[in-house]
Amino acid sequence: MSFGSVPQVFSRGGLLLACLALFWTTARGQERPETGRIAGRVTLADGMPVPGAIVTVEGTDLRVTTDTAGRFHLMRVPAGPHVLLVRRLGYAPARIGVTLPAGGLVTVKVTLARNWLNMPQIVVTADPTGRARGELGTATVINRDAIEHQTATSLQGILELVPGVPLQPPGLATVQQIPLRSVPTSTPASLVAGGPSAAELAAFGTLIVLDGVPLSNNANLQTTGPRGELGSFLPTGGTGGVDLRLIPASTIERVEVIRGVPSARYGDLSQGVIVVDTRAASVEPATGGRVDPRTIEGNAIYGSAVGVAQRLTTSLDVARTRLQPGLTADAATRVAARVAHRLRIGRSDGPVESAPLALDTRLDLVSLVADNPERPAVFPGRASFGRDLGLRLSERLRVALRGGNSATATLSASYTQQRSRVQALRLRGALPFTDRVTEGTSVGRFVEGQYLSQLRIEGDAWFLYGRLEGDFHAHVLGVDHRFVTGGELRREWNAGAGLMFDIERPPQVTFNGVQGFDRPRRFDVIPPVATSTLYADDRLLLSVLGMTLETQVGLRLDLLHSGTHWFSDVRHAVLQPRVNLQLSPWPWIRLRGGFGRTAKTPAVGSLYPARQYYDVVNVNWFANDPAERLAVLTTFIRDPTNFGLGFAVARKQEAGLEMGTGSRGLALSVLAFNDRTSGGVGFRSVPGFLVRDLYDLADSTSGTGKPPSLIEPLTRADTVPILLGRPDNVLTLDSRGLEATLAIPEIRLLHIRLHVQATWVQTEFRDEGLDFGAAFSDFQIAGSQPRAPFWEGINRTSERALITYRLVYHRPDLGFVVTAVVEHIAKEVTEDIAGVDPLSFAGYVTRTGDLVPVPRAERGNPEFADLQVARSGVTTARQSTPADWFLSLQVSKSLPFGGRLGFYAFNLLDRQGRITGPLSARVFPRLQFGLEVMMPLGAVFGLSEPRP
Amino acid sequence: MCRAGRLSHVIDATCRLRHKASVMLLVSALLTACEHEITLLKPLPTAASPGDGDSAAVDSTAGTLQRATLTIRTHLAPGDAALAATLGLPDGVLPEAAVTVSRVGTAASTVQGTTDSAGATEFSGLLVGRYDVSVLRLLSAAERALLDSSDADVTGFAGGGSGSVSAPSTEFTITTSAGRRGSLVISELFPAMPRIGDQGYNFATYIELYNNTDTTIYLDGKLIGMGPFWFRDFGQTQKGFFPCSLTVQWQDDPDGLWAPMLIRLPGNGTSYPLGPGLAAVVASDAIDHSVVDRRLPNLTTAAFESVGSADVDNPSVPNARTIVLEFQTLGRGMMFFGVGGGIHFVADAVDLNTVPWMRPGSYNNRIPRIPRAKILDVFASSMTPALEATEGMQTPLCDRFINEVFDRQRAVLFDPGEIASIQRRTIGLFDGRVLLQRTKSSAADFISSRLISPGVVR
Repeated sequence: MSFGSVPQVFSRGGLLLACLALFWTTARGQERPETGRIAGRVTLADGMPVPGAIVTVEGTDLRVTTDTAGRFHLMRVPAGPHVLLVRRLGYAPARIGVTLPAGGLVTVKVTLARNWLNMPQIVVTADPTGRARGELGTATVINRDAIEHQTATSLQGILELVPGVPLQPPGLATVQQIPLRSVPTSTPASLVAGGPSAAELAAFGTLIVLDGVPLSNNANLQTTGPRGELGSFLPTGGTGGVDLRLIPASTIERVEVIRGVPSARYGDLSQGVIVVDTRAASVEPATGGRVDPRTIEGNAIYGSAVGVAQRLTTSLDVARTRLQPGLTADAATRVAARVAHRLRIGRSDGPVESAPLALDTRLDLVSLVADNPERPAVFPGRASFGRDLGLRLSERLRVALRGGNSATATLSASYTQQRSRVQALRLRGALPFTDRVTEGTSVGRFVEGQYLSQLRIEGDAWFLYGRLEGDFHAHVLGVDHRFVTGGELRREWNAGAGLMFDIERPPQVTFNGVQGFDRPRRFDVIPPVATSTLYADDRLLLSVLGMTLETQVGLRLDLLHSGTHWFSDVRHAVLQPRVNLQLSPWPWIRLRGGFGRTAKTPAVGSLYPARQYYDVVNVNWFANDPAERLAVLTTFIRDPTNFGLGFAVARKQEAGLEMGTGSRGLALSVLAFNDRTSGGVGFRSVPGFLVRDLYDLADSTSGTGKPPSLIEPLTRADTVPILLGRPDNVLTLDSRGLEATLAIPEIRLLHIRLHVQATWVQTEFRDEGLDFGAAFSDFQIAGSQPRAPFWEGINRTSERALITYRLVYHRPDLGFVVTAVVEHIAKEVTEDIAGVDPLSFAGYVTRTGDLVPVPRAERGNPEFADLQVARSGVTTARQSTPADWFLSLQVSKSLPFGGRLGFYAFNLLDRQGRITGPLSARVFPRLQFGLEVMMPLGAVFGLSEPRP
Repeated sequence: MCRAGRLSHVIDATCRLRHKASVMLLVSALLTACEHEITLLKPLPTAASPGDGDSAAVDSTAGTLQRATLTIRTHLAPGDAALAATLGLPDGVLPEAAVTVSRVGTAASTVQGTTDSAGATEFSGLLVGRYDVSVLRLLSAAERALLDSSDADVTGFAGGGSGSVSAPSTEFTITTSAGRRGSLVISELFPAMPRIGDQGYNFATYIELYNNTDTTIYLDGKLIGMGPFWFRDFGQTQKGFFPCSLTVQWQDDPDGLWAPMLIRLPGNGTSYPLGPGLAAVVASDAIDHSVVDRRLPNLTTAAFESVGSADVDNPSVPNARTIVLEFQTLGRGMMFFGVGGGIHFVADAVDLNTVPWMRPGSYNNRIPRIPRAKILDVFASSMTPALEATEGMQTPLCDRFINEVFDRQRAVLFDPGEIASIQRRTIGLFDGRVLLQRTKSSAADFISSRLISPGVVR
C-alpha cells in the first residue's frame, strides 16, 4: 500500500469532508442537547467550610470558585459522566465522579483534607472511563493521588496503571520505552539486522507530550548501526522512543494516555499519545524520598505566587540506581530540575483561562548518566558510559478572545547533548585490512590478535517546535461546537561530532573479505529534517432520538519536506482523517467507536543513513617473513539513502462499550481495537555487485625480504554480490486485541475496592522486504557459486493475555492505603512464520545482483536443485512462557503535616516465571522492596499555611 | 524502638499506628521481604566412589546412596577367532585386558581394573548411573612374533561401550576386536578455542596426520572430515530440534560417515608424499599464533592450510579446499571441531558424485556420506567428564555415538577451552619409527596432552 501520492491522499480527504458535511447536515434541525447543573459544598472533615476552592469539570472549561460558605454552583454542564476536580492550596486535590442526567441537578459534598490519604474519594488506580482533556478517544487518566501511591521513579512506573503494560520494579537500571497497544515480543531481535524490533517500532510511534510540547527521539543517533559489534554494550537507547527515565515521576501532576484515536491536534505518532502535565503553579513546598536496595531518590518542589500576576514553581529530583549492588559499580544517575513560570496580564483574579493574556514558561534540565565501569577481574577492558544532558525551553502564550474563545502560540527549543562511550577487548584472527575512507585500491596491511576497541558517539540533538492554535466555541446549526484548528512546525537535526573510533581498532571484528568495516561519521553534516502540519478538529454534541451523541471529527495534514526548511518541496504528505463517536442511550452507558489515521516521521538517521563500506581483498600474501607480506584491498562506498522514504502510516480503529456511574461506583469498559502501522522504517536488502580485480604477482619468491609486486595491467576480475541495507518503509506492525476494565465499588464493611484490567493483544510484525538468509555471506565469497536463493520476508507473531488485579484497602480515618497487585500473565507466545523447507525460496540472486523470481510451481524442478536448501537463520519454533503470576504490595500511611510514608514490595513472593528448557531464565524481576517518604514542608517551616 | 530526635515526630507517628491490622500487615510484609535471601543447604555426601557428590544419585526416600556392582565380561569378535587361537587366548574371552570405567557426566570418576583368566572383572560400590567402558589389551613383542604375516599389523585388542548401571548389580559384555596399525592415521588434534579476554580464538586449530605404515603415502586428494554430529538428544530439550530417535540412522550408519564438513587436500596424485613415520599438519591458519598468545602453536611449517576470503593466506603453505561446510565461518577457512566434540576422520580420495547425499530437515547444505571403505582413520570424542557435568548434561548424549565398525568407544577428552592437544598413544619404536596405537577405540588410543607438538610424533 502506498501513501506516497498526494493526490490520492487528497481524494481520501474529500471523502472525509463529505463525512463532515454529513455530520453538519445531521446536526441541522436537532434540538440543542440538554444540560444539567451541579451544586455542592466543600468542607473539611469537621464541617468547616472551605472558601476559595476552585471547582472544575474535567475535560471542559467549566470552572467556579466556592463562596465563603464553601458552596459552588455549576451551570450548563453537559449531561453524562464527569469528574469534578476540587483544588485548594494547602489541601490535597479531590476528584469526585458524578453522572448528570439531562436537565437534572446533582448535589455533591466534597471533603478536603490536608493529606490525600485522609480523603474518602481518592483513587489510586487509573480512571477506567476517563478521558483526556479535549479528547473523545479511549484514554487512561492517572491523577496525582494515583501517582503518589504508585511505586515509580519515572514515567514508566506510572504507566503500569495502563491496561496491558506489565509491572516493572522502580529504578533507572535500563532504558525504558513504552510500546502502546502492541506486544513487545519475547524476542527483542529485529527481523533484519540493524532494523528495529517490534517493541522499538511501537515505542518510536508512541508520542509523549510534556507540558503541551512533544518530546522527540527522532534525531537520536546513539547507535552503532548493523555492523557495530559493541552496540549491545551501549547504555543508552538510540533507537525506539523517548527514554522514560528522563521524566521523573515526582514532578508529574497528571498523565493522560490516549490509546484510541487521538484528535487531530496530535501527530508524529503511530501507536498512541501520552500527555504528561508536570506540577506547576502554586504548590506547597514538599520534599520526598525513596530508598530500596538498588535505588535512592530524593526530590523537592516549591511553588509560590510572585505578586498577584505571577506564579513560579521549581522542582528538583535526584535519583540513582545501582544495577547490581555489591557485585558491580554499574549505576544510573538522574538529576532533573524544572522551573515553571506563569505570567497573567490583564485581569489578575480568577482562573488563567479568564486572563486576557497568559504566558507560560517552562525550563527543563535533565541529566541521565549511565556508568558501567570496567571490572578487570571479570571482563577486562569492557566498560561503557552514556550521558543525556537535556535542556528544553518552551513558551506558551494564550490570548483570551471573546465568547470564551482563545488563541495559543507555543514555541519550544530543546537540545540534548548525548554522549556514549563504550570499550571492549576484541579478538580477531589475522586478516587483511585497510583504513581507506575514500573509494579506491590501495596497499593495506595485516592485523591480528586482541585489541582494545574504543567507541565514542557524540550527538547534539536539536528539536525546534512551534504551534499556533485557535480554540473556538460556537453554536452553529443548533449544535454546540468546540472547534480547534492550528498548525505545527518541526525541525530536527543532530549537530554532534558523531561516531568516532580508531579505524584500525574498530568496534567490529567480523569480516568476510567483502563486507567492510564501518568508518567514523560526523553527525553535523547531516541535514535537518523539517515537517509542517495543518489540522482542524471539531467536537460537537448532538441529541439523537433522545440519546446523546458526542462526536469528534478531525483532519490533519502532515508534510515531510525534502529540504531543510518548511518552504522547501514536499517529499511526502499524509492526510489523516479521525473520527470518534460516543452514543449514550442513558447517562451511565456509552457505546463508543473511533477510526483514524496517523503518521510518524522517519528518524533523522533513517532519512540520512551512514554510508556503507565494502573492503574487497585483491591480494592476500601473508608470507612467513613480515617484510614479504602484501595486502591489497579495494574500498567501495555505497550510499543507502532512500529518497523515497516517507511517513509510516497507522490506521487505528476501535469499538466498545462503557458503563459507569462515577469514579467511585461500578465501572466497566470493554473495547476491541485494531491498530495497523504500515511503512514502518526498517532496512530493505538491495542486491548489487562489485567488480573485484584479481592481480597476478611478480617477484613472489620467498626469502627476498621484499613483498611481491603486482603485474599490471590487470588481466582478471570477477564479480562479488553485495547487499545494501537501505532504509525503507518495509515494516508492518498489526496489533489487534481486547481491553476490559472493571472497577468494583467499595465494600464499605471491609474498606476494600477491586480494580481489574484484562488485555489480550495479538501482534504481527512483518517485513515486506526480501530475505537473503544468513548464507548470503557464504555466497559472496564463493566465487564458483553462480546464484543463491532468496525468500519472502518473515512474519513474527506475538500474543499476550495479561490480567492485573488491584485490591485496594483504604481507611481514610487512619490515612492508610494498602494495594495488592496481582499480575497474571495468562498467555505469552511468540512465533516466527516463514517458509523454511527447501521449496520455500522465492527466487534467486545472481552474482551480479540480479533478482530472478521462480514461480512456486517450478521450485521443485531439478534445475533449481541448488536453490532447494533449507532456510538458514530463521527459527520457526514457537516460544511460549508458561502462565504465571506474581504479587506486589504497596502500603501508604499518612504522616503528620500532610506527609506520607510508603512501603512497597515488588514481586513479594519472588516468583520467577520461567521459560522451560536448557535456556531457562527468569521472566519476572526479582523481589525488591523499599520505603518512600513524602513530607510537605510548608507547615513544618511555616512557609505556607493552609488558608481555609 | 522509637527514638527522639529531629524526626521524632515522624517516627512517633509511625510507632503510634492505631490500627493493629495495619501494623501486622506492614510488619509481615517487611519480614517476608527481608527473609527472601535465606536458603538452607543440605550437606553433600562424602565422595567415596566414582560420581559421589552427584545429587542425581541420591535416593531421597531412603536417605542413602544407591550403589551397584558392575561386572565386565569380554567377548572376542567372531572374526578374530583364528587370530585368538594363534595367540593362545582362551575361547572367546580376553584375559589380562585393562578395563576403564567412567561415570558419564561426573568429573574425576574413572576406575580401572584388569580382566581375569575368564576375561572378566568386577567393580563394586559404584553409584548407579550411566557408564562408559573401554577395554584394551596390547600385544607384547612375544605375542606379535607369533602372528602370521597377514596379521602382522595387529597391535592389540580393544573394545568399549556405554550403558546404565543399576543396583544391586549389572553386567556388561564388551566385544573386543583386533586393532591394526592402519595406514594414514590421525596422530594429533588441536581443537582448542581458548578464551582470550572474553572472546574465543579458534584460528589455531589443526589436525596432524601420520604415516603409520612402512611405505610412502601420497596425501593428494585425501579428505579430512567431520562426521555425523547428531549425538545429543536436542529433541528432548528444544522443541523442533532433532531427537536421537531420528538421528540414529545417520549417526549409527555402518555404511559410511555423513560429513557436514569436508576438506580436500590438494595435489594431482603424487604431489605430496608422506614417508613412513612422518607427520603432516593441516592447519586452519598456517601462521604463527604465538604472536597472539604465546601458549598457541606456530603453524608456519604446516603442510596445508585451509583458507577463506577473509583470513590470511600463507603463500608457502599449500591450500586445502573446503568442499562441504554446513557451518558458517564468515570467510574464515578453518578446521571445524565444534564445541562439544564429535567424529573426525581422514579418508582416501572419493569422487563425491558417486556417493549418497542428503539434507537433514533444517540444514542449509546437502551432506555427503563417505563410504566405509574409504575411511582410513577415525577419532571420536565427547566432552571431558568435567565439562560434560557442567555443560553437557542439559542435553543428554544419545545412546549411539558412532557405529562400531568405525570406532568402538569414544574418548572423553574434548575441552575446547583448554589449551591442550589430543594425541594418539604410541606403542613404541618399530624399525626406528614410532608406531602409533590404533585399536579403533578412541577411548583407548588417545590421550590429552599439554605438549602441543604440530608435525612431531614422539
